[in-house]
Amino acid sequence: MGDDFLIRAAIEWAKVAARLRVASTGDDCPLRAATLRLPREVAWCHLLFAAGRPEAVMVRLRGVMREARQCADLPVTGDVFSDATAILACLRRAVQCRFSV
Amino acid sequence: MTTFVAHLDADCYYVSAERVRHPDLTDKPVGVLGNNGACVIAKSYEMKAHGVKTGTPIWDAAKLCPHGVYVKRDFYWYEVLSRKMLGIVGTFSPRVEYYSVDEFFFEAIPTSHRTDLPGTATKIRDYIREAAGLPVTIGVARTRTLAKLFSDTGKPFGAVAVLTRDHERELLAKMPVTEISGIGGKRADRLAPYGIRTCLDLADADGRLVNKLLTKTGYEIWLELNGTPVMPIRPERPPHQVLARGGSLMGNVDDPKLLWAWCVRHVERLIEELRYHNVRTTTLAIQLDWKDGTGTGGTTSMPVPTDRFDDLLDAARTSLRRAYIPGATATHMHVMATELRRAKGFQLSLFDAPDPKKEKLAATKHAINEKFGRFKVRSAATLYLPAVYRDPANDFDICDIRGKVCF
Repeated sequence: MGDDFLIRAAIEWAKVAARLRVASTGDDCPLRAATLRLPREVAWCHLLFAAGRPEAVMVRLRGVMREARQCADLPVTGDVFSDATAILACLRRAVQCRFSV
Repeated sequence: MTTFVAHLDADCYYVSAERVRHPDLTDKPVGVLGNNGACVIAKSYEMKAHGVKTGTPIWDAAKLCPHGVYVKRDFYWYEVLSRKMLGIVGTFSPRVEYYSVDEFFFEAIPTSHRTDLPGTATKIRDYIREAAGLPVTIGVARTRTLAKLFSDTGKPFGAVAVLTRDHERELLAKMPVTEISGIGGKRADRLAPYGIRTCLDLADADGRLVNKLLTKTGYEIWLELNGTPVMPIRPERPPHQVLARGGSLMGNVDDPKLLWAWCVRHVERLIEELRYHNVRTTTLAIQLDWKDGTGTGGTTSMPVPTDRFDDLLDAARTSLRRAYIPGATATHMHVMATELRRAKGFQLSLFDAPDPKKEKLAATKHAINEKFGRFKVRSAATLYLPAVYRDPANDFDICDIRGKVCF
């Protein structure tokens, strides 16, 4: 597991957020608001992870899931890499379905 | 054996950090805007070439560089990359000082017995570029002051190692004395009558004269210019003497309700810092800057060290009254805790019974905000600032990056 996976995810989500900003408007959509917030959340998670606080990483990512109202039953394995990847993949699918970006 | 100090300075750091996540900004003129989007706080070399300077208002910058790309600053991201750089430098040196978000000092050690210090500086610079995507400049010299001066000469993307006195003198002769951090206009004016205009002039001046003109700080700079290290590398930040929060009021404020709302916001931010550093304060000061360029202040002392919102709010109310000028327009406010005590082990007075209920309430507020995000629970007084709380860019400021030595 590369310790930079959250930085790489933040960069990826920054691109998604930039495309989303262009593709859609309106602040009332929770998924859109959560997606725009996600790059910095994920970036911050990198620091939390590096500081040895994996539980805080999951709290923040689940917070974004709640905000996005994506309440899919994601498996909790206890491994940050797997759980974070699953959450981000779930959000990615939701954003793709809803906004086609 | 001579030890050498390296100074690492990221080139156009905020812009470079934006380019890491938005590679399409590479080679374009890019300006990073401050928290209310009014001023350029960092710019790329391409934008600098159009005459845009740090502090230029956006309306002037847009005229000077109409095809520039302007982005709002995001200190979350800048801290993440800054820590990544710090981690990389830590693999090359056992002693690293996190001086600021984009500047580190570290003990320069050759990476192998076959690599000299210039080669090491180049290697670290290239590795940071490769691993973090950030261009940096590294200067190596006998002291911190020299390393910082010489890294400036290598910008951008340079690696400069100045290891002999002759080489030092050659470079110092070309640099005005104002290039030295800590020698600004007034100090330079004091030196000018003695013919001290370049860094070399200062290095060659009599130490006693420098001490007389620039006091101890200037004398220490003089020693460092002459290769005597007096400012050590500090891998840990020394404890804060003062904690403060504040800044621009994002416009002109003459409404007392708004002024109070800002005051409460800054008190809440200050409490976060007090709790983080595990300290309490017995004094709360408020400094206000007014539109006409004047400033006023008010200070209130408390009988017992505290980090509790209700206590600090009472003190802030009194301090603000002392600083307030009815009808005047304020532009900046700072709230400062100036007398810090460790959070445990202080003496209560006879009349200061601990209040477990209020302590519990404060702890609950802190725990909720830790878990669900900053300012999720906040004082209703701050409801007068909806735009400030709506914009996530205001969640995190440069002063929220902890552990920096510079401030």
